[in-house]
Formats: sequence, structure tokens, C-alpha cells
Amino acid sequence: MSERMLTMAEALREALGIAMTERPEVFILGEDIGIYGGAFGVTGDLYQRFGPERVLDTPISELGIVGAAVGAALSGMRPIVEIQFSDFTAQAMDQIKLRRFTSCWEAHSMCRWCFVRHRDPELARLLNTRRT
Amino acid sequence: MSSSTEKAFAIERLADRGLGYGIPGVTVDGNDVVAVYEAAEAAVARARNGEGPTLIESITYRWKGHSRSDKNLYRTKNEIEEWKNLDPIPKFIDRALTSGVLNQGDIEYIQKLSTEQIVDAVKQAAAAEAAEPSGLLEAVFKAVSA
Repeated sequence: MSERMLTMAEALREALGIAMTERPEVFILGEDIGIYGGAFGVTGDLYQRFGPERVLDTPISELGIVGAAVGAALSGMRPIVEIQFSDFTAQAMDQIKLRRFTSCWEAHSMCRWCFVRHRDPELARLLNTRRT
Repeated sequence: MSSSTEKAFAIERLADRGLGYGIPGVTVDGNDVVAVYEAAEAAVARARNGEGPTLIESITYRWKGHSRSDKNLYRTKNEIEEWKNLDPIPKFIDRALTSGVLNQGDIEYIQKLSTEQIVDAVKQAAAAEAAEPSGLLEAVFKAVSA
């Protein structure tokens, strides 16, 4: 078995590309992830590959970004949120705590969230997958 | 940093957002020193008179990248050049000279003074002692008597 060396950013980009190729309901949303390629270069050329509707540049509002993702997830999409710096996550606490966690029970369906944190450069990524 | 206001906002004039809060919203040319002064003067007078806040939208532009790693991929060189032509400083100098408020000597004196102040501040900062971890909480908490 041959070994491949990738940076964390390259590995994340490759995984995001695979997820978007395999599942049309997967899309990414966050700040400066489009033409700019992400503040830490994680999304890179995904904007060129998948277009502005699946690599969605958002206004500066973590609350809005996570809120939109929760709504999209509840209606069957598979959003992947990029929070530019992990400390900005606190800006979205209302959506994370009150909507993301409680909606699962309100909707009587199972939700599974995993929180992946990029060590260096600092990047937090909330990955939502919902089991139905 | 890479999203234009046209793309990031659904409304053209951000000052219109004042309406939702029941406060006046004013849009001014942010590169016109006198226009900004007048808008601020009216807003301050309103506030001091107890009539509440005013939302001022001051339209201007960032010439350089958001940071050193910003390659400005999201805008054109033309757009940046157009805004550089609207530089508020020469615009204000013109106005001050034409109206006779300042003469060429005053302008040079102010520019020299400002440059000196900046150079001094940089020197002072560079010569200052490095901050110690023990000073981390300075100016964070206020001492309260029991």
C-alpha cells in the first residue's frame, strides 16, 4: 500500500470534494470560502469545481450561517458549515444550542453531529449528518 | 473580507436598516471629510438632545488586502484604481485651499506634523518593554471595595 502525504487542509478539501461528488445534497457554506478559497485555503478550488450554489459565500453572520444550515439539514440537505475561526463559534451558540440540538427531538428523528476541529491553522468545522 | 456589500446585503442603502430600529439612517460619501463631519455633527446634536441614536452609513473603500495574504482575487485592479482616485485627503486639501480656510504652507505644516507624530508613535512602541504575562489582567477588572 502506497503512502500519501497531505496537509490537513488538502485532506479536508479532498474529503469535501468526494462528499459533494457522491451526494448532490451536500453543500458548503461560510465566509470567504468561494473565490477567496477560504481564510486558511481549505476550500481552495472547490468553488471552481462545484460553483457558487454549492460553495456558498455568506455574509459575516455565524448565527445566520448555522441557522441556515440547521434549516437546510432539517429539510433533507447535508450542509457543511465552515466557521472561519473557532472562537467565532460562540456567535452561533443560540442556533447551536437551541435549534441544532433541540430540533432533533422536536422532529422525532435522530441527529448526529460531529465537531471536527482543525488544529493548525485554526479552523472549526461543523459537520452535520442526519440519520432518518 | 471577500464579499462585496452588493452581494452580502439585499438592500442597496444600509442606512435603511435604521427604520427597523425606529432611528434615522443617513448615507454619506465616506470620502468627503466635510460630509462625514456634518452627518456626525447632526447625529451628535440629536443624541445630546435626548432624541436617541442615528445610523450613519459612510461609504468608503479598502484599497489594500484584508491582510498580507489577501491576493485581491475577488475584485479588479480597475475597481481599486477608481477608488484610489476618490482619495479623501487630496479632495479635502482642494476644498480647503479653494475656500481659503488653509493655505499651502498650512497644508505642508499639517502633513509634516502628522508624519512626525506617526514616526514618534512607532518609535515609542518599538522601544517599549515587551508585555509580561503577569500584566494580562491589567485594565480588565475594576477593584471594588468591600
